[in-house]
Order: sequence, then structure tokens, then C-alpha cells
Amino acid sequence: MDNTAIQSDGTAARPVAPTAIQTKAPYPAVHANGAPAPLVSLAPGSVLRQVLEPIASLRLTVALFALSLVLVFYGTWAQVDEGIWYVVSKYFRSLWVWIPLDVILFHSIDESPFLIPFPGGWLLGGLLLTNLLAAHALRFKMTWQRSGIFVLHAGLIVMMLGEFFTGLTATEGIMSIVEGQSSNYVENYHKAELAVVNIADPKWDDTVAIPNEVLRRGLVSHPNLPFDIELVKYMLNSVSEDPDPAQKSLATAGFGLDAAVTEIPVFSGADPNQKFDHPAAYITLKDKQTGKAIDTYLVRFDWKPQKLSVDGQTYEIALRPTRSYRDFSVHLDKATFKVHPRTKKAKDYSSYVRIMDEGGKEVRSARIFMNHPLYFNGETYFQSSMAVDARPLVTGLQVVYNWAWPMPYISCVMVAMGMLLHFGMNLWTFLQRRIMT
Amino acid sequence: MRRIPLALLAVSVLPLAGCQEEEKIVHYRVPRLETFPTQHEGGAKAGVRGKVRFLAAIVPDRGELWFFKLVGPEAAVTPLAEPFEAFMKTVRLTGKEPPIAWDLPKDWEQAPGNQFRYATLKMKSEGEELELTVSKFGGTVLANVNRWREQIGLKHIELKQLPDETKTLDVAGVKITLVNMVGEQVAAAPPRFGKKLDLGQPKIPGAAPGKAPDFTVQTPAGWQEQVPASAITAKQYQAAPNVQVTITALGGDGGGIARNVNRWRTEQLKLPAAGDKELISLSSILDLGTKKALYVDMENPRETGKPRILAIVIAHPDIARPETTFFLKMMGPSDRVASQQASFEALAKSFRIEGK
Repeated sequence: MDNTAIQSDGTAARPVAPTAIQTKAPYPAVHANGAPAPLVSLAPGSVLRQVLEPIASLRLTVALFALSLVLVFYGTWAQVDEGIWYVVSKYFRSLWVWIPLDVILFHSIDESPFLIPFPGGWLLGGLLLTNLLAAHALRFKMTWQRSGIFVLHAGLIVMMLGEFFTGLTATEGIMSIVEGQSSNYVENYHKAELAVVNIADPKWDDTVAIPNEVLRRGLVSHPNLPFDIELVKYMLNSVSEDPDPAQKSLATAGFGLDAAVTEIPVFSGADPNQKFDHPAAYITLKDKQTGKAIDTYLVRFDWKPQKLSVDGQTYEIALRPTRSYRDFSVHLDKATFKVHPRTKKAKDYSSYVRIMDEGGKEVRSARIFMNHPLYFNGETYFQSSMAVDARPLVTGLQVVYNWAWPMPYISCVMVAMGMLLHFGMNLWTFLQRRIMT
Repeated sequence: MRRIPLALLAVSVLPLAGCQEEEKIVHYRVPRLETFPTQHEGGAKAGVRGKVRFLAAIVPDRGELWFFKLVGPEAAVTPLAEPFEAFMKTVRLTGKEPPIAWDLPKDWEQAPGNQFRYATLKMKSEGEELELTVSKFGGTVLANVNRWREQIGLKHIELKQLPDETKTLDVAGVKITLVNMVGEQVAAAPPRFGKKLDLGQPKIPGAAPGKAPDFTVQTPAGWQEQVPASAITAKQYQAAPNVQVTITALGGDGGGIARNVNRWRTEQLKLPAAGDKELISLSSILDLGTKKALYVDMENPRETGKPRILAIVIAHPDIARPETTFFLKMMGPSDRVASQQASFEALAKSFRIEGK
């Protein structure tokens, strides 16, 4: 039998060097004193051991890797129809995903209502992590010869945890600032919210923000809302159209009287231009007491807030990218853009910003430009986009918060070191044997 | 025993995968930001939520529109309303290079244009430095007026309201539309997250934004390539005197082939909009070798100069799910267009998306 990494059992004909994975437990087959094993023990026959043994199975590892491959394949294939962030959320950052049959069959059939359940990324990742930890608990013995494997596996654990924490805690959005103005919020264009803002106080925006998941459940009621909101129709993506006079609008007030929208499919994640969806919705405002409809409004991404008056108070409603506010503001002093002569290729786009605290006191100033982001308050501000077709210019700063960002790098270094260590040691042992013989 | 914590960790790690924050309605109060005025290129105090006056003029030129736009604080721009109108009366279409000319008032300065502007005229008023920009785009008068109205916080108007909201000047037979509006300085639409840098493409209703793929064509013999007059035009040629060829790339289906064809009919050929059946009768399928394209041929023999439009519409990657729609259009007097028809079709057949 060769000195391999995986052995089918431990009954080797001759002694072997310690290996990476052994399916036979490094414990005696019979309990030393024959007494029943305690609950929290890894002794043979213990409950914990009985639970862990199937979890630590190498077959399970192989099956999980195979399922992961299938998930990655269909997650990629699904981006023909769906946006990349939808796929990331539904396929990879989930316990289960329901894959449409037409995706399973590579779009060889028309859109199908049949959905095939499949384990999601977090379930597979969690199982792989559990499998790895259980295997270490049962089978792996900490020795110098195996230190490379331990470092390698630790690297894998860091990588899995890195993705887990990134999925759970990382945020990314855009801060759009008009030249000469300030902004104190970041917008996430992948998530919509319906905002109802009481603008009675000229200095404060009193806002109730309804995530689109909540809005799409139907009727929304909240103590700080002056009315209930009922969803009439929600469109994940839309184009703005001229209204068709022959067709009566669902809207009874607001912009929907003069404008119409048409639902279109969401933009594909495989689209090289990575366009952004423009959700839209018809919503009916209802009297809280009587449930009687007040008016129906059409709201859409990119539209300005629509003003309405209820009980003498003026409100603004808007379907907008989900906002998260900061307790400081970023003021854009100047934005500049340059393109290569006679082309539309960007050469240099810069934003000269000042960060102001709540009292309006300047705490920092910086020029943000390509490859020179601003680091502030644990977040990174990248120069991302600029609207140059109108004056004043509008800059788009991509704001990223991800404390787990170093974990993939650390993981890669650990895995590389672990492999070098392991193969280096094996090589050294091999060479020693060759020299001896 | 030291393995037991690891074992317990193994059985407890899995439920972590179920950790996902539930979306909830949130209620908060946030300060409405004070702005910090600074001088910017246009001379207006950016960020000041004050009244702004928007003076503009639209000059039609063979199916496209010249825009003259002057925006700034109301106090500074209002005194320029009369000089602006007087200036517009001096504007003339030359039909040659340069295609448009004017008499510059003596206290105004003219700065060179760039690929987004044909020219920039600078002047001072009430201590403010102001700019009048000159550019050329497509679209309709109503769509552009409404786009401007939106920029200063005004509601859209309908076509029937246009005469009340604008003034028409007849300058040497050219009907110039004058716009004089007062509104509030409002923020421009924020750029989209991750979007490619926006280089001033006008909004086409229904057209999806995005960068069009690069393409190549072989210029037919005798055609002269020109600098595109509009930011949305990718290539422009002079095929013959008064015969212009443009290649335009628009995202998605470009707002709809039928809508574009009808826009050309109504605005450029002065023909009534066509219904579905008529549009089908005007169209044919042109085999480009690698793919098929829609070929549209229409003319108005009753209009002066008998204008005719040939258009070839190429959807990329395919007509069912177009990511980009390329409009190859030739317009000019009917007989001259006919003489260039073969070259135009050859141009379309040489069309290749780069990397394909």
C-alpha cells in the first residue's frame, strides 16, 4: 500500500507515515473499562461520537464538493436571466434555492413554473465547515508531520468564514453628490424601499422606510405612517413610457397621471454592461380608520419624490434605493473629468471632498480619484461614476464597508503555506528514505 | 478531551448558516442638509435651492435639433432674456461647414466646444459668470422641454400645452422654439451604481442605458467620415451632397424599432405615424451574411426635396433579447439616396461587432 493521503482503513500491511486523512479512528476499538461512555465524550460509543461520525464522513465531503460544483454551475447559468446580485442572494447566500426547470435544462424549454429545490451556498458551506471540524475532532491527530494539513484546513475555514461574514455584514452602495452640495447617505441600488417622508420640519426629514420585501407582502401599516399602504402592482424592472391615452392609468394622483411605465424583465447578470433595474409600483394609500382608498400613486426608481397632503401635513413618497444615513456629511467642492482627446474614454475623474461633522465642522478633506480612495469611518470611498451631461456635475462615490475583506487574502496565504509545508515535509521524508536506501 | 470543544463547534456551526437579517420597516429622523455654496463652471451657485431661470432655444436642422441653453440664478439670467432672443434672431443654418452661425454680441465671448458641445458662449450678468451652451442632439422638442422642466422641478407638459409654454421665432424660414422658464435648482439624477461613466448621452425614452459594444464598418468609396454631431451618434458620413449617414447604438431595443421608425416618419419626413401593418409593408429582411437585419425604406414625395430614409436595424446579440440596437440610417433627397443605396447596404454588410 502506498503512502497516500487517503486510506480505506487502518489495517495496513506495513507501517505508514502519518497521513492527511485516515478513515480509521485513532482510538482503541474497545472502551478501556467497558463502562458506558459519557454524553460529552469522544470515546467509542459515546453519543457525541455517534453524531459526529456520519458528519465527519469523507464520502460526505466528496458529495458536498460535487453539490457545490453543481450549485456554482447553475448559479452561473441562472445569470442568463437574472441579475448577479439576485443570484448571489438566492443561490449562494441562502440555505435553499429553488432552481427553475428551464435553468436546469439549459433554457432548452420555455420558462417553466416547475422549481427544483437545491441546497444553497450557505447550507453547503456550513455543512463543509461542519464536516471539516468534525473530521478534525475524530480523525486528525496534531503532529508536526501534519502541521501543513492543519494550516491548509485552517486557511479553508478562514475562507469560508470570510465569505460568511462578508455576506452577513458587508455593505456596498453609492453616495451621489452634486457639485457644491453635500450628502449624508449611501444608497443601495440592489434593494428598493418605499420612503414616506414628513417634511413639515424644514430642517429634518421624518422618514418611514418600507423595504420592498415588506411592501410586496401586501398591506403595510405602521404607527408612524399617517395612512396604510396597499400594493396594487409591483414591477421588478420597468421602463418609463409616454402614457397611452386609450389605456386608463391605475394611478389616481401624482406622476402616474402624466407618465406610464411598462414592466420589463430584470437585467441579466451576464450583461457585460451591468445595467440596473428600475423597479416601479402602483400603491394605494388607505385611510387608517375606515380602510377607504385615498389615492393610488405610481412610484418608480429615479423619479423625484411626489408630494401629497394628508390631514394638513405634507409628505413625500418615493420608491428609491435603500438608504443608510451617516452622522457626518461629505461635501463635494469640485468634480473634474477628463477624457482622452477625441474619444469618450475616461482619463481622469476626480472628486474634491470635505467631510463635515454634524455641526458642520470640517474634519477631513481629500481628492478621490482612480485607485486613490478615501478611507474614513471604517468605510472606503471609491471614485465610481460621474454624470457629466448636465451642470452641476454629479459624482458617484462607491462606499464599501467590509471588515472581513482581508480574510480571503489571509486564507490564500495560509492555504499556500500549508501546501508548501505539507509537500515540503513529504518530499523531505521521501528524500531521506532515498538517501538511506 | 481537548477535541471536545472542536466537536461541539462542529455541531453548532451549521445553524449559523441560517443567520439572515429580516427586513423591517424603519422610522428615523435625519437632518436635511444645509448646502455649502461654491462657484462652479456654469456660474450658478450650485446647491443653492433658489430660483433659477432657464433660457433655451431649439433650432431644427434636417431632422436633428440644435440646442442653445443658458441656465443660472434668476436675478442674473432674467436681464439676459431679451439679449438672448435678439441673439437667436441672428442664428442661421448655413448648409455647409460650419453648419450654424450667429452674430456674437460684443460683450459675449465664444469658447471652443468639445465633443459634447458645439460651442460655449460666455457672458457676465449681475456679477455672475454665465455660460450659454450650444449642442446638437436628436429627440423631439416636447421631450427636451420636458427634460429641462424636470431639471428645474417643473411638471411635464403635454404637446397641446407646448405653444403656451414656449414662443416660436421665424428666422429666415426656420422655426425656432424659445423656452423661458423659472424653477428651482434641483439635484441632477444621481449616477447609477457601477454604471460606466456617463458622457452626456441624451435620454431616449425606453432606451436602456449602457455601453454599446465596439464595432467596425468599411467606409464605402467616396463617402466622407465626419465628426459625429451628436453624442449618441457613433459614426457619421457624408455619402453625397445632403445625404447623411449615421450609425447610432442604443441600449436594449433602443426604445422600440416601431417608435424610432415613426419618430423619423413624423419628425423628419413629415409623414403620419404608421400602424403595425404599414410598418411591416415598409420593412424587409436584409441578409448581412452573419445575421439578419431589418431594412426600412420610406420617403415623402410631397415634401420639398422629396426626403427619403433608408434604415437598417441590427439587434445585438439577437432580436429576441437585444442588448444593443444599432440604427444605420441614410437620409437625403430621394434620387441621391437611391444612388447611394448599394453603398449603404455594403456598409451594413461590413458591420462587425468587435471580438465577434
